[in-house]
Amino acid sequence: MPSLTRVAVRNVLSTPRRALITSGAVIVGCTAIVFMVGMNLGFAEMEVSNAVGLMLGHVQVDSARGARTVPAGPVLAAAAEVAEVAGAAPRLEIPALAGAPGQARGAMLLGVDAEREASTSLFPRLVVDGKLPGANDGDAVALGAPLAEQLHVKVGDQVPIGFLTLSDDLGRARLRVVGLVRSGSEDLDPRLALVSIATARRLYESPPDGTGKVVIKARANAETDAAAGALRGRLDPGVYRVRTWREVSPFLRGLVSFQYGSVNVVLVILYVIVGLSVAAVQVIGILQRTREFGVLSAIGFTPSRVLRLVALETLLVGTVAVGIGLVLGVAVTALVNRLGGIDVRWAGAENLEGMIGVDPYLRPLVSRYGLAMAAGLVAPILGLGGVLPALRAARMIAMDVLRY
Amino acid sequence: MSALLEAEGLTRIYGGPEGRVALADVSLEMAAGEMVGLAGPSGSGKTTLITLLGGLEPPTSGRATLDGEDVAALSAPGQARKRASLIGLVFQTHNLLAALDAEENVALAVETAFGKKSDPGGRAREALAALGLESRRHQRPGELSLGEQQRVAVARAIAMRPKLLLADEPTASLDWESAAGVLDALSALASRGCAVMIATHDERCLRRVQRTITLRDGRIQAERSALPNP
Repeated sequence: MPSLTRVAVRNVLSTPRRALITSGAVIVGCTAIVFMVGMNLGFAEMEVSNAVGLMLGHVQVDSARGARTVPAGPVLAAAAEVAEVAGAAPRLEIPALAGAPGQARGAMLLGVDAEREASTSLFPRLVVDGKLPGANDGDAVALGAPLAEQLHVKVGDQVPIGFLTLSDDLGRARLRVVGLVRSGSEDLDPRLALVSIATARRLYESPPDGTGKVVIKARANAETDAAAGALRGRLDPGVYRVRTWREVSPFLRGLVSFQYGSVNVVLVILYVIVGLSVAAVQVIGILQRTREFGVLSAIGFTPSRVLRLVALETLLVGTVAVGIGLVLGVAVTALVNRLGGIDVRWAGAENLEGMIGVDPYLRPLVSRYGLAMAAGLVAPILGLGGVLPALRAARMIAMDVLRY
Repeated sequence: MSALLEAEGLTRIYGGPEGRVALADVSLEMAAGEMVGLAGPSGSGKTTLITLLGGLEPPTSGRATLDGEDVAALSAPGQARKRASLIGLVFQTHNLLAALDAEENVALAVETAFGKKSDPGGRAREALAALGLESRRHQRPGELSLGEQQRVAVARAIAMRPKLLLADEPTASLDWESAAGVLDALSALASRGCAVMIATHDERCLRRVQRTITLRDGRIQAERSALPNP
């Protein structure tokens, strides 16, 4: 004699088409939710990565008291101890004028450590001609390509630079152009003049270890807060100020938050579509069984026992289908990620050409949040979509069976 | 003979007090072992009367008792098992569960009403054997002819050992040979003391019953003894 569970299993197995249709809706729904949540997270990740990759960094350390320079050594030593930190680079930013008198252009003389920038920022990737000034390239400079054009200089030429020193004196120097760089930013490229951090210190007359700020790259965007927290714990708060990119750039934080929320609106629409689809398939499937529930009722099944039967069947189909849907969602998300992501230029983001360092590939991310959203949304809808019509059917239709 | 089933003033109105009167002031009695036919044109109230006597829904007014127990009380959802143990129901068609085989269909009903300790499998095999379906007991409804399906439904009712069996057009979709087999089974059940009521249009069925009640427009139009065999 079949127990209720065995009857439920028989019902599922004997109606494979019905089980497949219900499972199909659940699998497609779960897969879509896991993937789309992954896309949203990947989008936010891409946006942050693109924004912090060059100038901003995940974390910045500068003076707590507003001093123009602070010792870089303790910051670099602390960063080396923090596991969440992928790279740290000192920078010294000096207001300057580049070019001969009468032709001078406003410039930003930026002292960088080319070796450290390789693991911290995208600066090394900006070089379109020549190289970045190295530690031993005394009076070398790499100019933004538009700035070089305005000054009519090329690699190998000399360019006069005027600047303010730490003591607010006017300084002058002739620097040799060793490279041209282009970030794609119309704001940055026409004023960018990169020198080695040692040259910047010398010109600025800063202490030998002085730096305006140290830019930190975290191992991952998600580890930004952990990296910042660990650095705060290691640095004297009376000397150093540690800020994440969100604190340094509230505008960017707001932009990321706005776009994340906007995509979430699309996700909510997806949730509704998936929810309605799953509910519709389940409700139709149950309503088609009105006669069956009537027979069960007529042979003595109480409404609660009919409900238990439907709940068992839903549990069987739902567990398998949700499981497959989640696995498929993870697999599709991971596959797209592994294949390099989706080129958003294909989807209309055409103006990324020439934006060096801006990654045009959207890589969806597998997340527990996505899995929880998929299972947490689909499972209850599947349950309610089965149980509610079954309850109605079990209460109403024993007599209807007699009428046919 | 004392009455096993007594109905008095049974009335059923669908759609509120001003709604359609499906059954109006029907009173009847049935004794244990009696086989009664229920005749009348479509819409005359036969199915509604079966429904009320079967405790599948309560009457708008009036009362029916089975062995002294109010049938309306059996309409409550929680009374489904008790109703199933007292009253057997055989429908015209589509009354078996497609996913289960013949034996399981019968055994499930027995287990539902009496529990696992009631030897549902044994009672199912016994009932199926009584209807000549022993060799077909592992076939699912889709693998059985309509006549065989109906006999399984009767076997299910027999296995429950009910006091009252209500059959609504049990032979309507059967050829006469199959119909005769079903009627034989119902007669055998009646001979064991079960009151059997058969709602039917088929005069051949009505010749097998002891008494026929004819309904028209929800009221009893006539009551007569068995039709003579031609």
